[in-house]
Amino acid sequence: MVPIAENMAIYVCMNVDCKSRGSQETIGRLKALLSERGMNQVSIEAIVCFSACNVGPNVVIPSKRCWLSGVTKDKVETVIDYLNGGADVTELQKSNDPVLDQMIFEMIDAGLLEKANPT
Amino acid sequence: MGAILTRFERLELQGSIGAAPTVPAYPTWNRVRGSTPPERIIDSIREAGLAGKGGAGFPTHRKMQLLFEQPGAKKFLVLNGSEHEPGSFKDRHLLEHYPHTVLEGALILAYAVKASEVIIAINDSLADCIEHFRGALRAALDAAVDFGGITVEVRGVPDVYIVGEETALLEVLEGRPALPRKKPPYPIEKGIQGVPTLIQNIETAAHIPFILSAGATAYRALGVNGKGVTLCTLGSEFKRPGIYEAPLGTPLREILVGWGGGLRDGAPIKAIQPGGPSSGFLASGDFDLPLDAEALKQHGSALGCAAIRAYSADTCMVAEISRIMHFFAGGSCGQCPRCRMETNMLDTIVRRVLTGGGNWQLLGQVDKLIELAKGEGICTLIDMPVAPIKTGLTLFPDEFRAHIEGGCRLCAARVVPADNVH
Repeated sequence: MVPIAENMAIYVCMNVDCKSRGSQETIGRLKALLSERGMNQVSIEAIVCFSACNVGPNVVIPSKRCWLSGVTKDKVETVIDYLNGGADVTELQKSNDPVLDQMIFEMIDAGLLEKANPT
Repeated sequence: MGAILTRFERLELQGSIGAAPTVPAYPTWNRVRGSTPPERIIDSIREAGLAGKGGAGFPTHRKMQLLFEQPGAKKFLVLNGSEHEPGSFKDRHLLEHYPHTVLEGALILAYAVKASEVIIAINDSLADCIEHFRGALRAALDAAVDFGGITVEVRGVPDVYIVGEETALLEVLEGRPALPRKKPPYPIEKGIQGVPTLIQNIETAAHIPFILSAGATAYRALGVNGKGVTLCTLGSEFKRPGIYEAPLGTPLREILVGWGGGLRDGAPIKAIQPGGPSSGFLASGDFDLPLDAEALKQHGSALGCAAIRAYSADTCMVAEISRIMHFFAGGSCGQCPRCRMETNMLDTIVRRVLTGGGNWQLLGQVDKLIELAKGEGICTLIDMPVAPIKTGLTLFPDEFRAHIEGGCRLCAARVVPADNVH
């Protein structure tokens, strides 16, 4: 395994549709595999629903400018391999709506995911 | 004939219900059901120009005509008293203080559209109101008011915002979760138990006895603009809060200052929302506009249910807009992905700006989000955050700038904790 060098966040949609399609189990599997492979620099966060519910569970990896859909727990290993530079995730992007793809990264570019600075 | 309900009388927002009113003779009901064909009643409502008082303002006679034309021996009339619009207390007020006016209007409506069953839906949380209205119903029956074979049932419904949407109301009345239905079929075609159902607001029904007794012309003449009257609620921020029967066309300034007395804290009014949280903001330069659906719409706002909320010069509008966006995010039933996306994203964006983590680029996404959501909802909740956020950005750019640049003096003066803005 080639460890990834950067701190990285994986965003998983935890809204009702993605949850009903297994996003909770996806997170469980992500945590287990990240731990197993010593990838402590990768954090898991929740993302605001971006209406791709019909292809959930949805996972967004901003640092790789990558949205993966249909990431059920059995697909998590592919995602981890992708983070480590292997694995082709085209299959997990084939259902992505290009309009939503553009929107979510424009939102991220605009600072959607930055931590608020409470005043 | 005097005013239809409470004209120019200020009523406390949440006063005691008081003693049960004497049962009147239901004179208009007794006259029309014996002598006036249903078609003539619908004509009178059309001539009066009555528009639904629940918020959408749809012409009442058109819905009546559509139900009248539906085939079948069994039809329902549902009066929607699930008044969830924040700041609106008019329907509750009518149910508590004018139950017989509501009942008489309901009977006339039912007769005109050939509905044999009436359901009056009231929020479960208003237990006293439900009991009081049921008492009035029993009193009318005890007093031998002849309902002409029409049954009237009072039903409590969950205190959930989306229940104000008519098909969500039908769902809860049939024991299911409050999720709006896809349309068509419309309730007029397939409503309660799959039979034709007319849904009207409580206040709408309360206008009917006056129209049928005094006539459409007299009703229209009650309004400054010849469109009758509406009940409006002035919130507790006013010196004289309460429910007022307002002639439509009355200048907003007269209502805000002449009736409401301005703000309790003495500060100037910076802006208002004349029709609840989904209506666009109007700044003080617009206060000479009339209380009129068309005029308000032309200025990016809405009459809605005429729950008038005023904001003082000392109020941070970014905080208020954040509160409104949060309300709609919480109010979305989650059934439509684009509604969930839009309401949650708008909530996130404005909260981010409010708490110091926003920027103009993020606010620049607002229009794109709205465009992406346009027309993609089963019900109108998807449209509800649009007017307040768009008018808010237009009218208060300096307040957004202050938050982005970290210098909102209004928030600093109020010391609003970031986690306590909603």
